[in-house]
Order: sequence, then C-alpha cells, then structure tokens
Amino acid sequence: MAKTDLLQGTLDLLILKILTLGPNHGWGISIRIRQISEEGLNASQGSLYPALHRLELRGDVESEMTPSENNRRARVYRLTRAGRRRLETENATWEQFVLSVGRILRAE
Amino acid sequence: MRAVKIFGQLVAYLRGLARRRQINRELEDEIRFHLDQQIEVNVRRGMSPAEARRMAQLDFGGVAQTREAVREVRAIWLDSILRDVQVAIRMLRKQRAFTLTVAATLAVCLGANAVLFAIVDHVLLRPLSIPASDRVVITGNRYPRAGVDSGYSTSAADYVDRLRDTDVFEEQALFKVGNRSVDEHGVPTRVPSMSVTPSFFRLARVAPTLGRTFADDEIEPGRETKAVLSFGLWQSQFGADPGAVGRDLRIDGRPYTIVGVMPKEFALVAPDVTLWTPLTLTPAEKSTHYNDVWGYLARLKNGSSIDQAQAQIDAVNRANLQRFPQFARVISDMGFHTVVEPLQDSLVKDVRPTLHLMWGGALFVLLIGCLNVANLVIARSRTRTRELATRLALGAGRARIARQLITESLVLAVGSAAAGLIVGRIGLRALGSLNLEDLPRGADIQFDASTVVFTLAAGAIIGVILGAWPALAAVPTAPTTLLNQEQRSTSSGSGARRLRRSLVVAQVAFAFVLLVGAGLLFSSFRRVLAIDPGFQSDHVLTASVALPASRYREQPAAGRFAGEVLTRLRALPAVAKAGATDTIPFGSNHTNSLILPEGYQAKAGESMISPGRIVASSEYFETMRVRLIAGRLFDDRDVESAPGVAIVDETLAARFWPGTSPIGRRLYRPDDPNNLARITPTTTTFTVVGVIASMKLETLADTRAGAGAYYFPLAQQPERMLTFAVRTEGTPATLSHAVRAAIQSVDPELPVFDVQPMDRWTAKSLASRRAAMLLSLIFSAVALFLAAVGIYGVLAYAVAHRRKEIGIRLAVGASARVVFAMIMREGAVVIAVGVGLGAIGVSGLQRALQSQLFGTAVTDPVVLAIMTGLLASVAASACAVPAWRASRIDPRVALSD
Repeated sequence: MAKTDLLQGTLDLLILKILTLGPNHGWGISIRIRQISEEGLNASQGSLYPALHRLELRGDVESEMTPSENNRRARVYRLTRAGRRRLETENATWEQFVLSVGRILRAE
Repeated sequence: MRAVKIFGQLVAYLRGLARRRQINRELEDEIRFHLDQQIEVNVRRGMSPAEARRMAQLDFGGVAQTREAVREVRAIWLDSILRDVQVAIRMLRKQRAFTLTVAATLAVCLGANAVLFAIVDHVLLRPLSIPASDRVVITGNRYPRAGVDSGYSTSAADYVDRLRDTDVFEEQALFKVGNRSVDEHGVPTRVPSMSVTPSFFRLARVAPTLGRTFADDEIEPGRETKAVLSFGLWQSQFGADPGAVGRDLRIDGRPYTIVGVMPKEFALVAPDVTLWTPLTLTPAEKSTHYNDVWGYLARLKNGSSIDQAQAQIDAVNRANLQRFPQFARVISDMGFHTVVEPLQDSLVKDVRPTLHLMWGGALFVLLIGCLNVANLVIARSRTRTRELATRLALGAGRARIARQLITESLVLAVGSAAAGLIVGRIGLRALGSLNLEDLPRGADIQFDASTVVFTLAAGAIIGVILGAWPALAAVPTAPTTLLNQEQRSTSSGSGARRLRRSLVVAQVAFAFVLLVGAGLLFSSFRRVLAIDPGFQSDHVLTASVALPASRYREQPAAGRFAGEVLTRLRALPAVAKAGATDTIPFGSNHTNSLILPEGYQAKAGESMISPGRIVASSEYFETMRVRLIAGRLFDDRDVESAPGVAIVDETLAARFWPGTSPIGRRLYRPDDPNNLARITPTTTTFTVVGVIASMKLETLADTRAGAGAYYFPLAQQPERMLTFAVRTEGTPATLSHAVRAAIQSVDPELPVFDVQPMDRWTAKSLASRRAAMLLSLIFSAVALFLAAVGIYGVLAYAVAHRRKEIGIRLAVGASARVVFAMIMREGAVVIAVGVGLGAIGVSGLQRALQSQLFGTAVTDPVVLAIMTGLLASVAASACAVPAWRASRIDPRVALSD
C-alpha cells in the first residue's frame, strides 16, 4: 500500500505539505500546487480530487462540508496527526530516494 | 460458512448504501464549487461568461472523469472491507479444525446465554405488558403469627377504605381470579376468568381492540351481566368476528352481553385469563374486614412513592383497629400488617434467584468457552507469526494487518453467535419440558430482536477481543524481531506457554465451581424427592370440576353431586378406591381458616392460628394412603344430618392437645369477638374423630413450620371446587376417559379438567427446582468437557514442543513409564491449582445457592469429594493421551527432526 507509483506519491506529498499551512479546499490546493511548482508541474485536476479522497479514507486528512457564501458549499480539508506523521516519514524517504538517485548518477 | 460470507457482504453493502447518496451529493457540490471559483477568476481576467465556463471546464480536465475517479476511490475502500471479509473466510476455511472447534464452542456457549437472556429479559425485566407498569402496586394482608405469611389478598372493606382515605393512587382496582364455564361449540369448557372493578382497565391503561370495557355502574346487581373477551377467546369462539360485540355469551349458564375485546398481548396479574366480568360486591362484603379473598391493585400517582403508599395504607389499618376494638387484640396478636409491593416484583420474586443462578451458570460456561478459544488463538498466533512478519516486511501497514486479524476473528465470532442463536432456539424448545410456561409471561418467551442483538453483540465483543489480542501482540514489533524469533522458536514462547497454562488453570477452577454447584442442586433435589409427602401418589388419577354457582347454589346439591360421582367411579373396573377433596396436594386451591379447641385459653402474646381447612370425602384418605395415627377416617356415618366431625393432622394435634389424645375433643369457630373462649348456642362445634399424618400440601420442600390442617367430611361441608382421586389397579392414565365419562354422566354440562396422575402434580410442584438442577447439570457437563479439552490442548502442545528433549531422555535410558509420569505430573499441577482456586470460588456459592438448597450445606463433604474426584479423573484422562504419546516417542525419529 505504501508502495504507490512515484507520481501519485509525489502528489500526495504535495497535498499534505500544502495543508500544513492550514485547512484549504480543493480549488485552493490546486492554486497552491501551481504556485509552488511555478506552473512547471501541472497537476491535473482529474488526479487531485481522487488523491484528496484517498488521503481522507486513509486517515491522513479529514474534511468537512462548509456552507460558504452565495449558497456554495465547499469541502475543506485539514491535516490529521496521522497525516503529519506520514509527511515526516515520507519526507525522509523522499530525501533518501533523491540522495540515492544522485549517488547512482554521480557514480556513472 | 456460506452464512458468514453473506453476513460479511451484507454489512459492507449496508454501510456503502447508507452513505452513498450523501457522498455523491457532496461530491457534486465540491466539483461545482471548484468550477465556480475558476469561472470567477476567468471572468475577472476579462473573459466572457461563456468563455470563462468553457475554459474552467477544460482546465478541470473532465468533470465526468473526475467524478468517476473519486467514486472509484470510495468504492475501492468499501471493497477492501469486503475483501478483508473474503480473505478472513478463506483463512478460516483453510484452518478447518481450528474454525470448527472455535465455532462449535462459541455457538454452544452463546446459545446457552441467548436462551437465558431471553428468559431473563421476558420474565424478570419485562414481566408486564402494560404501560408504565413500574407504577402499579399490589398489596397483601399478612398474619404471620397465624401461619399466613404469603399471598396477596385483601378484603373488599380495605378497598372501600383506601378509596376514601388515600390520595397517593391514581386508580385502584379489586379483582378475583376464578374459572367460568363457557359453551364452546356445544361443549362446556372451563376458562380462566377474572371479575374486576371497572377501574381495572383504566389502571392497566390498555384500551380494548374492539368495543369498550365496563362502565362504572356495571357493578350494580342486575347490570353486571357484561363480558370483555380476551383476543384468544374472541378468535376461538367467534372466529374474530367484529360483530361479536353486542352478542350474548352463556357463562355458567347465564347470558352475558359481550361489550369488548382486549388486545392480543394484554395480560395483567393472571396471564391465562380469557374472560373479564364486572365484580359485584354486596353491602356486607364492603364492610367486612379481614376477610381477604380479593386481589387489590393500584397505580401510583406521578410523584408519589411506594413508601408513601405504604404509610397511608398502614394509617388506614391503624384507624380500622381503633374502629373495631373487639378485633384489635386478636388481629395484632396475629402480627397483622399489609405489604405493598411493585406488581412486577411480586410476580417474579419467587423465580428470580433460580433464574439468576441459571444465568450465572450460563455466563460461567461462556467464560470457560472463551478461555478455551483464547487458548487456541494463542497457539495459532504462534504459528502465524511468520506469516504476519512476512506481510509486515513486504510493507503491509500495521493498522492494515491488525484490521485483517480483527476482521477474521469478528467474522468467526459473529458467525458463531448466529449459529448460537440457532442452537439456542433448539435449546429453548427443548426447555419446554421444564414448564417454563409456569413462569410469569413464560408462555411467550421467544427469541425477539433484543435477544438477537444481545447474542450478536456478545459475539462481536468476543471477536474484537480475540482478534485484537494477537494483533496487539504481534504488530508493534519490528518485522526482523518477529522473523528471528520464529527461527529460534524452540527457546522463545515460554511466556505464551505460561499464559496458556494460566488460562487452563482458570478453566479448571470455574468448571469446579460449576460442578460443585450442580452437585449441590442435585443432592438437594434427591433429598426433596425423598421427603415423605404423607401420602402415596403412585397409581392415583385425579380429575377436577368447578361446580357453577348458578346450578349448585345450595350446598347440599354439591354434596349430592359428589356422592353420585363417587358411586359411579367406585363402580368402574380397575378402580380400587375413590375419594374427593377441595384441596388436592400441590394444587392451587388452599384455604386457611381460624379454628380453636374447646377450652382454649389465650396465653399472653400467643396468636390464634389459621390452619389449612380441607374438605375430604369418605375413602379419600384410603385412596391417597394417608397414615391413620389414632381414631378413625371419614366413612358413611358422616352424613349431612349426623353430628359435625373433623379429623386433624398430627401437627395441629400437637399444637392444640400436646401430650393428650385429641379423639373426642371438640373444635369450634369463635363467633363472639369479645370472648373467644365462649361457646354460644349458635357456635358450631366439630368432634375430632381421627388423627392422620401431616400431608404436604403446597410443596414437598415446604420447610415452614405450618400451622397444620383440619379436615371436614365433604357430606357435611360441601364445596363447589372439587378434585376426585381414584386409586387404580393399572396405569392411572389409562382410566382418564372412563373417569371423565363417569363425572359427565352425572352432569353433562360440566367441564372436567386437570385429568392427570397424582405424580404429575408432584412433578409440577418440583418443576422450577428440577429445571435449575437439570440446567446446572448440563452447564457443568459442558464446562467439564471444555476444561478437559483445554488441558489436553496445553499438554499436547507441550509434548510436541518438547519432542526432542523427550527423545533425548528416552535415548539415554529413561523408561516410557518415567516419561508418562513426567507429563502426567505437569497436568496434575494444573488440575491441583485449578481445583484449589475453585474451592475458594465455591465459598462464594453460599449466597447464590442458599435459597435453592434443601438439607444440603454448601460445604457438603460428599458433594465436594465426588466432584473433585470426577473433575480429577476426567482431567487426568485428558492428560493421559498426550502423556502416553510422549512415552511412545521414538528417539531416533525425534532426534533426526
């Protein structure tokens, strides 16, 4: 389960990272992703929402429907403690990965 | 297994279904919010609204696809539960022996608990099916020093006084339970009935299904020929015809107008009543105190307590003693007082200790069963450690593994609980022979929703505990530790072995407590059976009639009827003797009535007594083979016109004429309250002609020092409630038809009931004692078996584990006998410690069993010795198998493993 494909894993990581800044809704998160990656990494909206729901089912984030203005209801996501912990371990794993890849490339 | 699978799928499906609609709606909102936000931004950037919307949708990358992708995520999650259940079922099927053992153990244990829960729930927790039944109280007048210290009866005058002088009750009612004769398709049938004041139904707060109940003026003579039918009678007599209301029903030969039909579940005080009629009281009845032949119920007002009710009724009683000073002394000498109790308590008081005891037994069995299952689970989790470690090492989340383990044991335990419900249903039907219908609401004990919920919930709790235990034990450890541990498993696992041994010790201890309890009940039961009832019940057939007052108003008519029936019964072939009485032993008709010996001098503080007053025909005592101690029995001399005679039993004789012969002495009923010893010309006296051995009348084990009984000849004091008894030459039951026919040949319109051998009456009076004993025997047999399996399991595992060591011992010259003894010793320690702990538990039985024991102390050495021996020998046999196997280990094979 932990071994998900890299792209999806990266997206999960990005979402969790963004949510450390505070609760946010899906649209807000998509804007942030674009800003952080300076439009370079164009995370498709199509994969953002399934990722959010998966994270919720896994217990890394929790969500709440909030009645917002003009009768618009937004789902606001918030990081859970389990999510924060996962972010820490995954972060370490990611760095490890980057490091190993770097070493392999340098060794060539 | 199929059932388990279906159940698991059902749970997952229901969960998904319940949330699906909400999830979908919220997802639509979420997507719309995203698009709206984007459109706004686009518009602000200068796009036209249509353009803005198109771009937003394009940017989103397909609304439909996203919707589908999210739904798939959700579905996978739901699916994973289903998959867990499927995996669980596959695992359980693979380990068939384990699964079947656990399922059978839990099914039996939970089944037993389901049965006891259903009984306790119906009988103890919900004995009344009327609204706010906890506010209804019943009262009983007691005269303990005169021998009347039970029952719930009241005088009509008390009812009138309480209506006038109390204000804690919202409603008060008087009732009298009896039997009426109703024509059922031309056949006269005796139906249980009740005459009630109109307030009775208001007090019950139950409205009729059809028609109405009684109006307040329908207790007036002349207007009282109204009847309310039970649902059952309405169906059987009128085929549930709504037009029945307003029609006539012949009751005891008189036409009554049907005014209403009560709902099916309505029952108050007497559950089998099928007919209610208005209760009429004569002016004399309304003003006569201490004539306690009615039942009284009251409903407390909101805010009033039962203590207040007791205080007000006590005050009414005190006022009455002042109003009637001529009674005051006699009545207070008898210890007169009125008890006020919640009706529910009064109904279940007698059976509560028995039921609690039985449920306690069932819980013990469940506990022992769970210990056994826990033992198996621990043994199995050792073998599964490798599997778990491998999965952990392959990256499965710990929570995921824990979930899988818990799902597995949940599926197993809840599935077993479902099987337990089936076992329980069968068991409940088998219990029918234990006379459950004699319990309050006993007839409608069944598995309803609360029983099902209780049983499945118990299964779920057991499942979570049994699953969480190995999950917690295995999961937090790092995979390497687990894998290494597995490799060195010969030295590790001693902790688990110790734990398993403690579980078996606990099992033995609990089984010992159950065995001793069952042994004590069994020994008590044998002692009760050995009690001399004062008569011989074998070869006696009884048949009862209730002569309707309408046709047998004059007492001599009843006497003539009885005489004629007896003549015909005695003419039957195979009938040796025939007699009649109004009080058959262990029947429900008992009368106590004040009587005094001539020359009675009241000693200070001594109470007058109210012994049993019984009417018996000639040959009754011979039929029952009652021992004559002095004088003579009733015979043809004792006719209506002859001088009044009586027979007393030895208890009463010893009280009235200690040390002298009662024969020729006279008894009288005092009729001058100012001078009890005075015999006036109007006082009726009875000359004692005989003394007989005391007969047990209410129960065999009646240990209360009863006041004794006196008997009048039926011809002189005829009664309308009669039981005929015939001593037969062959099997009593074969004469049933002949006896019934003989009675009906005298009065064809008379229903004849309770045609049964005398032994049946005895058996019925022992029903609850027998039920408690049989159930405890069954429970302890199951417990003994489970404990034996537990011991066997632990030793067999130990032997398998020490195979190599035993092989070495044998190789270096240990004899098979030494090895056998070594393993047996290991088992003996477990048994000895278990029995020792159990003995401590037995001391706790004292309180629980006290009321059930008869002539047997909790520390009865014979019972303790037999049960210790039984447990030890069964347990030793369980040890012998693995010990024998150990002694037969081939060293060459064991060492080359």
